[in-house]
Parts: sequence; structure tokens; C-alpha cells
Amino acid sequence: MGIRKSFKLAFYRLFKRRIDVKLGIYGPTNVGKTTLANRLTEDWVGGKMGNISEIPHETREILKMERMQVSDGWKRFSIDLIDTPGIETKVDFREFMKYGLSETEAKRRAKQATQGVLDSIKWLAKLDAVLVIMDSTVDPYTQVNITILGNLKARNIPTLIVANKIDLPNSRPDKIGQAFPGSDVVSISAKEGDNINELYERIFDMVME
Amino acid sequence: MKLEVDLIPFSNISNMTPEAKVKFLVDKVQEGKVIVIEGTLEPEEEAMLIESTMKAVTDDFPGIELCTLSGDEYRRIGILNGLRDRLLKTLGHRKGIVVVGPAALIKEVKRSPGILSMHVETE
Repeated sequence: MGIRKSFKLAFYRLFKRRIDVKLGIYGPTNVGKTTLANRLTEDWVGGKMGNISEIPHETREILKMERMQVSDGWKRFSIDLIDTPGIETKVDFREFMKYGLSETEAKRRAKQATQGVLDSIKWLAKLDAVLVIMDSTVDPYTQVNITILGNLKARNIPTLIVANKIDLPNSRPDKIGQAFPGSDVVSISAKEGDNINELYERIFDMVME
Repeated sequence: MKLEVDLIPFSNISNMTPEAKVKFLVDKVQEGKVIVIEGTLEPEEEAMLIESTMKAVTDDFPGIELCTLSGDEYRRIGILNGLRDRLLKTLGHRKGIVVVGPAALIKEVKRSPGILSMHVETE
């Protein structure tokens, strides 16, 4: 633990001051952002944030759970959790039709999805810390991941990469660490809850920095 | 469908504002062109490019494929050393490659340190 963090920790313990944090969840589509958001809200305050689906762009607007009161036993946190729509460089309504949506439904979903991407990028400037979720069963070295991490670094926003879906047999979280050397990475299964306590510790550490 | 590729030296766009640079790229890609730039975009410019693309999405233009290979990745594979890279950056030269093209045309982009591979499908 660094000296700066030790002083900060001592200060908060002494005065029992609450730490207010806007925590964002970012990533491409279908990596498990809302599954993780639901896991966090269920464990911290009860209740879910949003629906999940195999169809990409299920989350098409910013979801917020505000002022969650959380404690790690020593410090008290007030966390605004922001679950964002997946960021992509393309949105093709024809892709949604492959999942059985009608053309009208698919076009409406595509329009909402493009707005969702715009909102996600806009919210980047408003956050104190961010979890970047990656699917550990696919190649992480994608342009969307690179652009998200580059923008967070440029804005000096504390970031933790979450390698999700480690419950699946073809999961390779080690590849995420190799693709983004020097980044903080924690491996979890948001669906099954695997390694979730380590994630919570890392989140609390990150927001204390 | 024919495939048209424009190779653009970074000096051609280096004096543009980020907004003008992004507009230049989106306009070209909407014309169906694949653009290859000898240089890199700043992360904020990449985000602006995605924003502008989302605003331009229609039934016939589903978006872009974007792929950047930065000087950092060159350095990782030993082509540039850090000092030379910093000097080039100070002089306004951003070492790397940017490929932007219509998503309707570029079906897949694979990247590994030092290599970009594009899978293009023309009807």
C-alpha cells in the first residue's frame, strides 16, 4: 500500500467520512456488463438493474443505481453505479433479424442502440472510476477495447479490467493480461459469482486511490 | 461492388482539427472507400469517430470498421525505440497505421502486434 493511500485510509477511518463514487461499467456488447451490474446491486443493496439477453444491444440506455451505501468493514462508500450500453463501431439492423426480430423491431432496436453508444461515450467524462468488462472466451485485442482504455487513460480515470465468463471451458483470462500489459485485471464469472469477493476488494482499492 | 482504397500520408490531415479530421474520414467511408492513414488518431479522436459514425448510421450504412496500430505496438515488437518515438511525436509525427472502412464491405479485421488483416467482401 502506498504512503498516499495509507494516509487517506487513516483519514477516512478517523473521521468515518463517506466516499462518494460514480462507478461506470463499460465494454463492447454481450460481454456481461448488465449481468455484473445485477450481481453488484443484488449483493450490495438487493434488486436488479436491467434485463439480460443473448441479442446484442439489450441495454440501449444508461442504467443508474444511485447512492448505494456499501461498506468494506472499515470505510463507507456511496456508489452511483452506471451501467452503459455496449460500445460498437457498427449497428446493423439485419443482425437483430437473425435473432427472430421483425424488420420493424430490428430497425427500432438499431436506432436505440446507436443512441446508446453515443450516451456511453458522453458519460465517460462524468465518472470517477470505471470497470471495463471483457469476455475472456474471445480475443480481447479489439479496437473497441483499445479505444475505451485509451480514452480512460487520457482522462486519468482509474480503471479495472474485468475478465468475465471464467466459468466457461474456453475462457482464457491470461490473454487479456497479455493484450493489455500494465493494466489491472481481475478474473470473474458475473453469472456464477466466481471470484466476486476479489473484485469487490479491487473496486474498493481502486476508488481509494 | 468495387473496392477503392485511399492511402493518405498523415501530413495531409495533421493540421486539421479533430472535428475536421473525423468528418473527413466519415465522409470518405460513406462514399464506400477504405482509408489507410500513415499515422495514428488520439483516443479522443477515435471516440469522436465512433460518435460521428453512430449519428450517420442508416439502413444502408451500418457503420465502420476501424483499426489502429500505434507506435506503442511497433515499439513492443522492437521496430522503434522509445527515444526515437518520443522525438517523432514531439515533431508532430504519429507513427502507426489507421484503417477505416465501411462495415458493409469489411467483414472482419484481425489484429496482432505489428499486423492488421482485413477480410473484405464485395458482391
